[in-house]
Amino acid sequence: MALRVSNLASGYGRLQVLFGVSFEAPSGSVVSILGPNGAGKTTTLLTVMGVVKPWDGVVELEGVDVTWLPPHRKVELGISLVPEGRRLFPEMTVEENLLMGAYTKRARDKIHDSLELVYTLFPRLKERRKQKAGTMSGGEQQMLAVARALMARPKVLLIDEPSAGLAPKVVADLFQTISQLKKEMSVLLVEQNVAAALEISDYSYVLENGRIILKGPASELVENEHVKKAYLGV
Amino acid sequence: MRPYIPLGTYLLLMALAFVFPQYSKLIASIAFFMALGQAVNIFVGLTGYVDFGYVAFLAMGAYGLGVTVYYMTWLGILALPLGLLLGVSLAASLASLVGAIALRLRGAYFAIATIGVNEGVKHLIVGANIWGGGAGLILSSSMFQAFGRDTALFLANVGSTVLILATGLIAVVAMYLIQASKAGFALAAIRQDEDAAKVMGINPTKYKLMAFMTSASLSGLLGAAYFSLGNMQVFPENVFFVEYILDGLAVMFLGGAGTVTGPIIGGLIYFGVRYLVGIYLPGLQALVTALIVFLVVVFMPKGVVGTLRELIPSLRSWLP
Ligand SMILES: Nc1ncnc2c1ncn2[C@@H]1O[C@H](COP(=O)(O)OP(=O)(O)OP(=O)(O)O)[C@@H](O)[C@H]1O
Ligand SMILES: [Mg+2]
Repeated sequence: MALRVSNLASGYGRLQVLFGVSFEAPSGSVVSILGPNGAGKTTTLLTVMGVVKPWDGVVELEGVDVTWLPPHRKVELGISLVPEGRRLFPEMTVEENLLMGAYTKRARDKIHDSLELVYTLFPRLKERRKQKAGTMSGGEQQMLAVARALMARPKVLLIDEPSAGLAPKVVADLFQTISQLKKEMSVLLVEQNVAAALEISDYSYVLENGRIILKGPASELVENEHVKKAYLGV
Repeated sequence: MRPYIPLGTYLLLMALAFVFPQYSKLIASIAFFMALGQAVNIFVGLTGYVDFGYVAFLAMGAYGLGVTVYYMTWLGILALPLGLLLGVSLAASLASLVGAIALRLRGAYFAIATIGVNEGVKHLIVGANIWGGGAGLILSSSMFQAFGRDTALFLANVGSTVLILATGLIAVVAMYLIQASKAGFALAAIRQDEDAAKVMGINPTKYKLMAFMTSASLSGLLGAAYFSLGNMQVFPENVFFVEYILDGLAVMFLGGAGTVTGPIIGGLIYFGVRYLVGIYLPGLQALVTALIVFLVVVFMPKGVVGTLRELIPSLRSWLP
């Protein structure tokens, strides 16, 4: 199993946000975590990454316990995050942002290869490679955020709400590309755009109030009454 | 990048101090601001963090050389290199102590956490009555004994000026090395978005601490050169004088934060303004410092160098 998370608990200060969250993301698949605003989706990814300190639980990467490692060690070992809101380095060019993504030793050794890879995946970024990241359109910025995370050569790619603020057509293209990524790694996608996410997911979890309340193959969750009513508006 | 302007300025001033020893003290006053701005820039300009207890590093350098000369006069001329080494080590140790604890905090919290460091160290020395306590250390007779009268006077005049300039020069080289290395990219990322930097695999605390200790070491050297060697005395009221950090910040912002040339040009302008204010509006220097920082940050946030570079892009490589 590429990523296995068991009974994860965490929060901010005294506020507990996650209450024993468990899920797994095998390589070769897209797994999604869906849920409403404030459910704890971002917190889940940040805790897996170590940006938010876990209170309890276990995070395993390919069977190795990495729960307590700091973020930079986890990146080195193969977990990469596309943060909510993209969080590009606005004063750097597209290419400089990509190079920052390949910061770890392991990634630097493959830097040329990785650049070629992400430019093939997102030809748009190649055209814009000298442009300041902060001046690009929302869709381009999201592409860059995903590409930058890929530069780290992750085994597990965590993506936080890539669809936010993008037009449906742009979302469709982006999700198309994301679904291709699973050939090389395990993709864990967090989304509020439930319909779009279910379409490209192999397996999904529904997170509400810091707890997983539903899980199953995406094809089954589409038919679930709660999912239909609360998230798909049918 | 063409390093001629920063390197040339320092080398020229060094030559002037040798050729015209009667102007050495004037050059030292200018160079003090330039080197201070340069040292502050390596931390504040590169990380975006501000340390309000920063002046303690100047003091550590001053005390390092001061106590060596004062208590170990028998070392002779060796007291100078060993004293400088002790001063730099004290400054670096204090930085590693403060940094290891406080650099985990974010910008504003770090600034607040460090406010008390300067006063704290000062009260430790005065209260515990160590290193001369509240009365300070008068070094002239020890220096005459250790170095010989003529050598001591030469070191206090030209020697101290050259050492201040050398500190600025080392800071220029340090800045180049950092910016050309992996650490430079890491710090740029940390400055723009620390959380994003973390998930790129960067360990922010490590690089912030590195910049902090480099900056503090340079300030330690500067404090030793300016106070102990140049004034032949170390008074707590002088070396812990909190306004020096405001001077350093003013010089850096005036010239251009994060640039190599900025603090040099900033130091020149700042000295000139302070000098003129001293003549025409005596006593108002502190007010003018505050005003300069305010106006520059509001109207010219990139400083003189940053603004010039934007207006005339071909100057970019000349003004690193
Ligand atoms: N830095 C923080 N400090 C304190 N509380 C926080 C912090 N970040 C998030 N929270 C709280 O934690 C809870 C979960 O937030 P989280 O961002 O994980 O939700 P989310 O599922 O990602 O929501 P959204 O879909 O709006 O992004 C919320 O109640 C939020 O207010
Ligand atoms: Mg979120």
